[in-house]
Amino acid sequence: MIPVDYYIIVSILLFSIGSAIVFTRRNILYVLMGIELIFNAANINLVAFGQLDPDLNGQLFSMLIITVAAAESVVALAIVIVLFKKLNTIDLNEITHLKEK
Amino acid sequence: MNILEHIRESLQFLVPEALLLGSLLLVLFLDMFQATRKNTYFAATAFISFAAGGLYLLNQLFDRGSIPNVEFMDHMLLQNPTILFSKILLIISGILALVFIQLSPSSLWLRERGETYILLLAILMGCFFLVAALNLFVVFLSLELISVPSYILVASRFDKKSTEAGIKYLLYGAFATGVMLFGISLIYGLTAGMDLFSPRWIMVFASVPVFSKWIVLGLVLAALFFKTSLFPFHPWTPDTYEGSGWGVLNILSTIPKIAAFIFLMRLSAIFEGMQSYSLLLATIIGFSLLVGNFSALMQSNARRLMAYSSIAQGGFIGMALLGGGDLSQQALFFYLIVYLFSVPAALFVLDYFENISKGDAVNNFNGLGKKEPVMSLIFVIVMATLIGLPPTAGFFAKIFVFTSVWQHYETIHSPILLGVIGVAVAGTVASVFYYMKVPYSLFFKEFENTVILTSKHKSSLVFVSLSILPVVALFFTPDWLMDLLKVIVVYI
Repeated sequence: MIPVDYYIIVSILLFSIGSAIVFTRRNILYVLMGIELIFNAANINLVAFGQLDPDLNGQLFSMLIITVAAAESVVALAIVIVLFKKLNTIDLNEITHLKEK
Repeated sequence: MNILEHIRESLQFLVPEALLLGSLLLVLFLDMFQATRKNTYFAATAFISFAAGGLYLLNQLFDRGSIPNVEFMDHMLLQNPTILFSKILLIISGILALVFIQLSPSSLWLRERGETYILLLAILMGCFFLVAALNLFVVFLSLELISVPSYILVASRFDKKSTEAGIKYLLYGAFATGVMLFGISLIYGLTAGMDLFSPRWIMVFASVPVFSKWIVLGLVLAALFFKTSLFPFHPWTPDTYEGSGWGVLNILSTIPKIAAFIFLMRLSAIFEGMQSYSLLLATIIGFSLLVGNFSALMQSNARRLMAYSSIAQGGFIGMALLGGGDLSQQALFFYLIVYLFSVPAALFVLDYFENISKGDAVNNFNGLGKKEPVMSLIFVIVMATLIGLPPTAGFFAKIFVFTSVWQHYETIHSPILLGVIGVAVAGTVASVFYYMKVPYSLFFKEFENTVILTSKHKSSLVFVSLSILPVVALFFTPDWLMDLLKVIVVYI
């Protein structure tokens, strides 16, 4: 069996990469992908820790996360489509109708 | 078979949620046909479920002797008088939100659609589960049940501003959820369990190294701080408020906030005396008070002003979490009750003025005080509540919160608590200036707006006065509510 430490290293890497994408990328689709990576970092952790749990709580939780993340992506993409119709862009730098005056 | 039997027995505790779900499905059904697609049908369906749920909860609360503390659904959810009371508060704010949408002059697009009611009911259902949650499963699911409908609700006006507000809200929200999930996964690894409130979990968590505690608590609380718009997760608030309609904004700033604060209070009760938790919370609340109060001073747009005001109010409510003990829990409930009635009133009056003067900049309201004297006077009372000035219960809400934190400071002498109190006092002083900005331009500026629309709404006046009436009444009988709350908070 692969030791849990390796899973944690991978998940922390995924979390960091996801956060870096969220903070640096200005394209909304990339940002959503970054968020998806963060969700999956949590999934890897949960499944890795869940191996040791007789109740399989971790595995169950990761299934929940996958379904909820899908629902959230659907809403996000629907809003992105409306946004593109209205503004003709999905670049966060160009979406600046709301800001401090 | 045993599990099935248990689940069937648990269903008797889910009657209010079932009512909400039933009326959600009914609205969905009514929305399918041209003949029944009517605002009045939707509103009546939602209202009946709120009223029935509220009466059921009140009835349960009255014979509370029979249900001191019941865990049901395999230790996932909890039923006790505190939670019943919190659900009643949520129902009241749900009814206020419903009436707000019906009467608000700018929410025509909102009240004509069936989706609005469906989303409102879904948000309320999520809040019901959040306040009763015992397990991280339920916390995550209920937070998502609140968040996803809120994203749709914000973006549902389908114009440039509201879709932009929606996508910003969604990106911040999804990131906060992701951070919380990562924290939950680490907590699961550290404590081998998701059952937050069980004695075993608390014991195991207490033995975790301090540094790890800081990290996982910071990560897990992210989503709750996002919902209550506390410091590191507040930047969505002004943008989302500016882009969304007043009706949506009212829902966002009352219902999820009340639920999240009540859950935070239950969480604080189990972490009482844990240094790392109270330190984290105190720092975050101090910064929220700072950011909210002092950024609000510079705003010239009424929506952004209310956004920063809601960050600051979040800070004040959060102060009641720091104290610990019965007094601070009573103070939290007291503040929430005042907040619950005064915020819809404030937003409604601003909505009314915006409709008259066709603009949401504070300058647009210049001189309206002479045209609409009654509404303006009520607005002054509402703002006095939010500041915490005497003829309203806002005064007692602030006093109780300050007292609870001060008492806690006297026992532990932490300089951070003193800092929080200092910032809160400075913030209260600052809040006089920004809350009085609108009344000042109403009464003391010359009328210059030419495009005035006369819209005499008797019903608006009635709604605003009725929602501010409890707050004024509570000023004269705060003891009554505090005694009631004393009975309620025993069960936490």
